[in-house]
Amino acid sequence: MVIENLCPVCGYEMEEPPRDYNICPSCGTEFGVHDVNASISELRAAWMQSGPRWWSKTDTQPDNWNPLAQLATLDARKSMAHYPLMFTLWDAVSGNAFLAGVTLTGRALMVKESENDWWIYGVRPAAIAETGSTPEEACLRFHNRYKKVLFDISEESSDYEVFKKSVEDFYFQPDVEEETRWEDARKALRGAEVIPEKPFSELPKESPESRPPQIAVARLDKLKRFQSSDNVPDTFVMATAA
Amino acid sequence: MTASVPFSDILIMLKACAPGFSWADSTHFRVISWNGRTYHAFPKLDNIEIGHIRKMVRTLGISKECANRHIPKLFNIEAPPPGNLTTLSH
Repeated sequence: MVIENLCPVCGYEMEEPPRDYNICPSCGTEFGVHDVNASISELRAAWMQSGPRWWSKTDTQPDNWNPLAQLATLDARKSMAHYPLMFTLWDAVSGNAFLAGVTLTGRALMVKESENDWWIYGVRPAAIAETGSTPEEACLRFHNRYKKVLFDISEESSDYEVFKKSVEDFYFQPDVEEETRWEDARKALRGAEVIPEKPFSELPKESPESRPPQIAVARLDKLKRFQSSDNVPDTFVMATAA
Repeated sequence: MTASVPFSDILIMLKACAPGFSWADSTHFRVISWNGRTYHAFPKLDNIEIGHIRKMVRTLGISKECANRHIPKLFNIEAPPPGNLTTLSH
């Protein structure tokens, strides 16, 4: 089964992925057209009201076609919504007579706890979690929460060295269970047991080895010169097989 | 929306499951420490969503079974099979 080709409306395995004006022969959804102005659940409800019945007049209905079974399979896979994310964030933090730049390359697990309730659980750093009604909102709030932790640590630090040590302690504090869940989610994606839904299906995919977890704290106020190549954009990617 | 728990109930759980814990307000969060570990990012609210509580409990290394006794259904923990209890009694 090619998971990427499953129709998100009815669960039928299409010959091509559900995008670029490809049409699902099972439910008739034309991707890039019908799903622009209607949600997946609205399209599904409309298809269900049709019977549900096989849509295509040119593609023959498979002998053993079972619309409810293919839909149940799709829902079961989507309910395993755990996404192993990797990210890079850069923040400037002012402290007691210092200015520090913190470059974080981390790991987090995005979990759909229920409809419109997304949680992002830190893996590295582990001691942080955040929620949002969408994955994007959860990511934004996660970065904001992390930044506020840096600000609080800065306030409690007497000097730069104390700040650097405290940030590194925060970063390396583990949550073994979360690491296991992150790794399990990555394996599930690799084994095509889970269908990534938007926006995860559109995130860049990288192997964990390409983005090793690390934190770098640098003192900016002692730098003799700055250059544009020092800039680091916020990046979120999905971890895949090596 | 995620269920939430009053902070007063979380303090009761911490007293029972993380004896000697300490907590203090920072500018943005509540900082909770125990077992040589620190959780910097606990919300400064009267009611805390359980995702934050789970994360804090795991990161500080607090017993999930103990936490569940004080905050029911915080974690989904499978009960041990009855046979194990019999074995332990012998």
